[in-house]
Amino acid sequence: MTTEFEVLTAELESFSYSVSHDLRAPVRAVIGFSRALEDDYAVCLDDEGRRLLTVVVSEAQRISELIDGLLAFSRVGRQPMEHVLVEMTVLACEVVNERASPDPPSDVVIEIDDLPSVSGDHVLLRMVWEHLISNATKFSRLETLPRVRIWASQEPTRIVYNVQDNGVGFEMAYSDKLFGIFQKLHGGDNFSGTGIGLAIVKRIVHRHGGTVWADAKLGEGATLSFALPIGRE
Amino acid sequence: MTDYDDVEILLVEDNRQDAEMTTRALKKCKIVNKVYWAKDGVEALNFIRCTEEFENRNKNCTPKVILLDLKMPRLDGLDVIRALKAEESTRKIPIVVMTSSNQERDVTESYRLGVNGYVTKPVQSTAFVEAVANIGMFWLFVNSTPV
Repeated sequence: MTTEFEVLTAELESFSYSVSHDLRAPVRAVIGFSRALEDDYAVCLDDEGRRLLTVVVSEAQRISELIDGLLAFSRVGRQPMEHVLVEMTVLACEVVNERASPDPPSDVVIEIDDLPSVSGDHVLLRMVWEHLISNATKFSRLETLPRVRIWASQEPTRIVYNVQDNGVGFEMAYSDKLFGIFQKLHGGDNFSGTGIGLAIVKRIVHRHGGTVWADAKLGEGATLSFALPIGRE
Repeated sequence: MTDYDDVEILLVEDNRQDAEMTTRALKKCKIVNKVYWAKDGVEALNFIRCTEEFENRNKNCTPKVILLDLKMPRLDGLDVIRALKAEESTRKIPIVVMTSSNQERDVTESYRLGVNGYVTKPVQSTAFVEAVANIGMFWLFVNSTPV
């Protein structure tokens, strides 16, 4: 078993090495040479030519973001886990406070209830909060009174953490796609992103022996939940 | 004096596009000092050791900095570092790794072997030009190496 696991880990390692080295190089070249074209030959192009060039650059940048996403996803599956007692209220508050400046500034009101502490990996659980909170604020920021609520409930064998927003929501028919890699339920310019965040959340929660799910209605917000087991190391 | 004796930057890079972008970036920043492009680790070692096609090169003329990619055919970057740091005559030549890899094990191993810098090639072109310019400026004009 150990050998099989080691082989798999080594394969993943080599896969992510190739992705980071071999795929980045051509993307860098597309962006670099497009910029050289823009710098040195822009006068030879008309408006439409220049527009097409910006499309090339922005699509290449998107490929670069997807590669970064894929690597981040692969990394959370491989990095060793360290189980400590994680104070989830503190962690969620930290993530909210540090979020303030990036993204388009918004007036999203975020309420955090007292959250039970849990045994888990501090770094990975922080990523869970980062993705869920950023997701909730992203999809609610266009509402008149955007609001995010975070609370938890303790059950005999697990703790359920919830992040609820009053944003655009989605149709439950597509909920199985939500946590898939590169899956996006909302396109367009209003909601940027690669669709990797919730796949990362699912992977981290699964590594802790937990589950993730979502509940939503189109136009009426969404609640994303994850449950972590208690009473085990 | 051969054409190779006044080379100040030895660029070791198997990817033609990356090599062209690096030289363009150096030119853009008016760093027009002579750059020689070695296509892999074997050619780089031949250049430094004045062997094979470089046998007429003056061994006392060493580049001010080597910009070194890691993943290359024939002989990769880490092997080049090992070889150069093992020889008294080449140990002092500054080496800056310039690679696509941001893997921790590559960074750690490169520094363990004694490189002077490690730069992950930025994907964004402005950042790429800036990184190359900074490296060029520092190693050619700011830094002093032992004679």
